[in-house]
Amino acid sequence: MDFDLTGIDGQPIDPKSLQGKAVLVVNVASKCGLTPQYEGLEALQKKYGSERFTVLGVPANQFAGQEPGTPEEIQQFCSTKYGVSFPLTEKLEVNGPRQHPLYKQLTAFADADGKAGEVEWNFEKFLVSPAGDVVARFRPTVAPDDQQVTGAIEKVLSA
Amino acid sequence: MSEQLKTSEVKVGDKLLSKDGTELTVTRIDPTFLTFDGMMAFVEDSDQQWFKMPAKIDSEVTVLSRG
Repeated sequence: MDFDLTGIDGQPIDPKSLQGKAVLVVNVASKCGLTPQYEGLEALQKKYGSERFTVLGVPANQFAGQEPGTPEEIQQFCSTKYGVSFPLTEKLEVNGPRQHPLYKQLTAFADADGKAGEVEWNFEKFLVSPAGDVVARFRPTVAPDDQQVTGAIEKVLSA
Repeated sequence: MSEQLKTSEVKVGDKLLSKDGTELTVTRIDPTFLTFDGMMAFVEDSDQQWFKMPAKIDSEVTVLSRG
């Protein structure tokens, strides 16, 4: 992924930390009905996280304002409540006029129903291959432990 | 001055107040929301902002001004 990204701590995310890895990019929020998906995302990180895979959480506040906190509050929530060990970016816009370039690339990719375009809600998931190609898109209600997600991760890791 | 209106009365151009305090001018009304029964969504997709506010069908929402 060839984008300048800033971490939730305000420091640049070293591009080398993502290069050569499969990355599951997920826009996250702390006050959403789907927020417990953090548990499943952390489980993926624990199961597959190594030199070849990581979840990348992207806090976004465009969905009913369900990610209103400061970076410190978001970070504390994630680590205290869900023990999140995967990296989080700074708060980004994933749709609209200030859409981050990362999401311009991601949202051009269609889901299993052939639908591309805007992120529907919190916890939409995009799988990026180690080569940097978007290879799968899962809508928010597809749980992290769904076979669609784990199967796609395993496929891309075995390629 | 705000008023409470049924979701079915909201039109494109109306300005709504989301529960989090965000004001959005509706540019699109989605009749469904994800896979949840009985839900819909109001969206502002404009040069100013992109913001989505889901609502229960037939619930009331706060309208700040009519479009």
